[in-house]
Amino acid sequence: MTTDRSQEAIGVLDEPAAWLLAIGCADPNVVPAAVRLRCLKAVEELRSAGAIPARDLDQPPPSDIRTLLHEAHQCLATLSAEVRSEPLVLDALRAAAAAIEALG
Amino acid sequence: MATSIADLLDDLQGLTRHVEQVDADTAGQAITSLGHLGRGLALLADADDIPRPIPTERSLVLRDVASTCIRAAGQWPRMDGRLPELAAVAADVVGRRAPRLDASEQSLLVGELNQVARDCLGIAKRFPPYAQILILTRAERAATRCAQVVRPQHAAARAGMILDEPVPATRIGTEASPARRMSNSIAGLAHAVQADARDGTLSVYAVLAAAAAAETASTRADAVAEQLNGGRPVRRSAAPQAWRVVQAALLNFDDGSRYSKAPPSVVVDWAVRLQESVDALPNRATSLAEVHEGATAARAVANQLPALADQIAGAVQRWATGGRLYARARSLPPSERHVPEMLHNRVVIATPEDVAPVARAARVAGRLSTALAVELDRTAGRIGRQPQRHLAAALATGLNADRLAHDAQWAERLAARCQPRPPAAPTLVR
Repeated sequence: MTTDRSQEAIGVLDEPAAWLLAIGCADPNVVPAAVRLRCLKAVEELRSAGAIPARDLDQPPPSDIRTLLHEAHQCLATLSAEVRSEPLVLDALRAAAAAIEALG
Repeated sequence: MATSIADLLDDLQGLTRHVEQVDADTAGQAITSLGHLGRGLALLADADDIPRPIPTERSLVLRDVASTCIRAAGQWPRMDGRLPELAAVAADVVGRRAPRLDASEQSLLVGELNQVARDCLGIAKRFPPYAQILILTRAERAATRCAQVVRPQHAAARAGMILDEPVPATRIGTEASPARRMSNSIAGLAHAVQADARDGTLSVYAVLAAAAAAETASTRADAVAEQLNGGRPVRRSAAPQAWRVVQAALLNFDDGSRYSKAPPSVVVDWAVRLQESVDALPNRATSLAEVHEGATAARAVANQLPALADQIAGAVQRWATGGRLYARARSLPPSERHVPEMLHNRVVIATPEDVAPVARAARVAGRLSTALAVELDRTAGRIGRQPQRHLAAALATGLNADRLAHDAQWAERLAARCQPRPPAAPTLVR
């Protein structure tokens, strides 16, 4: 993401990135690898775009993966056109969509 | 499609040894190839050069054959063709690996490239007008001398693994079959993990992604092993469970890489590609060719998993030694060092002892993946082929059959224990 972009614009990526990271770091026995991998990929793209995904190592796993994943995707899909058109954000959006598909 | 030095050399030898009639074009292509092979030999010679007051005979001979081949090729116009194309790729691939080869691996590669160079010279000299040309005769003598002086050393059996190291193709589209994409993706993943581990840029999340992809790939390879066993059920290898234990153990740690603005990890990218290629595989093969291709790809995947596990175990230990990992004290193995932090559930810098469960899980995943690779190799003569003969032989030699049952039980028990904690509140907060 361009360096002159306001911190606010980048900040909107933090929340979906944190949600996707929570799913990417979910229990391997509960969430299939196909879903976790796509979420980790989306986080990588968002991190590189400037997001800082929060992660609490003590946080219990999210209870409703499906809802959280849809919310993260929705959050990215409704970003301003300027932010959403960034290649890294677009790739993250695609990865989140692939994760939803893999979740079935 | 992933390739390897062994594949490239096989293809080169296939081309050089089946030339029936030599015309000016064929001879010209052989000479152009000679130039590329000379370049490969020169790169090996550069990597070999430890400053010494008096150069060794080996060093002089190697430099002589390299420079003579390059000079000879410079006397002819460059010719295009399959042979020069493959020779150029082989020289590039060998050259990129040259700086990190040990003496035994280097001798092996010098021997292999030199042999192809001799074959190319043989082709060129079969064209009557070139038979008496001095520079070609000199190159032939230099190559013969090189074959006498540079001999693979005693450890050549293990050195042969360098020939099987996969080289991923960067451009492979969705038009390639899923099995081919799977072979290429495991090669890319292995290569990326190795490169990032070497550069110190490997992150916890990249390793997590690699282990998740390894879980998927080993599940698939396990299923193929069962299919190849003539329909008779084989005992599942428990490698997928072990890879899940690696991930579960790693989840306790963070390395702060999520604050980095570095470009997206190549490891994660290859891990996703591996997952996608496995997802795209048909559940049932529709033709015999598909069965063969699937079996070969499963072997290519399983062969790489032990090395991947080794890389992960090594990386985790290095991170802990360097103080790069942190974790909640309560999620670490009980230790007198962290008692106050444990009481207050604080975050601590992880020590090598703290990451021992991850390293152990990775070693078990490596051993169980080795067993899976050996099991798949058993059927290589009947269905598909073994794409990495040297590596498969080395894995079979290193297999510790006595530990397998214990490792499998351990992985299955631990994987079953990695059950989720009580669910969190519906919303996540920063």
